Amino acid sequence: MELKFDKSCRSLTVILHEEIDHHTSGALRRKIDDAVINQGAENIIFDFSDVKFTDSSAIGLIMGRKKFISPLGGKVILSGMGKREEKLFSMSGIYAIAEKCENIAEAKKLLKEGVRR
Amino acid sequence: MKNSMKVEFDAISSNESFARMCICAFIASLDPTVEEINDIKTAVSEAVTNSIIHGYGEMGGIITLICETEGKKIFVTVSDSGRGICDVELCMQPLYTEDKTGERSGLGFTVMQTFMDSIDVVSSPGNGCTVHMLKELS
Repeated sequence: MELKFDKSCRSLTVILHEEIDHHTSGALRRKIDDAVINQGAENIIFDFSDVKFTDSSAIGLIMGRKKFISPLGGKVILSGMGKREEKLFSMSGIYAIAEKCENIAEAKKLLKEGVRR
Repeated sequence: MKNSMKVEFDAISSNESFARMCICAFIASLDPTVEEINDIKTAVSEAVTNSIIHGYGEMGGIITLICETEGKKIFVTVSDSGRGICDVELCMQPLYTEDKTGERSGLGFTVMQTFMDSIDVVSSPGNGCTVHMLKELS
């Protein structure tokens, strides 16, 4: 996983790799939450373009992060989903709490537009 | 042609990916599509994760993964000898979870139901849990 903070939209970009399951999601959660606190991020952008497997643990990870940042009014944006992630995410109803974007650039654009409004 | 396999492993989270690899390798000769492989892998991952978290929790134990194939039909069974489920119907409701950390979606059984053709859960308190799933390849 790579974590990148972008000051201009106060977002933490989480680039995920390999497999997201119950085994891997615990460590991811701790690292993401630490980075959110340390960097003062308000929004989180998840990028799934290099992910090889996801199960419902990924949904739990996203739900948990949304809960973590929502007291500050933050947004969670999901990007780079392939067919596999799309099937899981659309059935889960996760898009009701996390917006969907094609890629990271589009996610940042969406956040910046939100800041201007 | 009929074929079957059975594998037993410890209920620890690193074995979730092991279970996925096992099922994947076993059904490979049936020439499933990429989507079908992913559906079955995801369903197995959910069942095994349930056994680890809810079946055994801290106490640990053994999980059994059985796969039987007949023609294009794939029968998958994931079973544990853990705590078991009081109310199977309730546990199968979307978003229902007994997890208190807020980090579990409660969608495990829903994913299994959606990604497989059929699912049957046999469980009672103290008697472990067995999940039978079927998927017929195209």
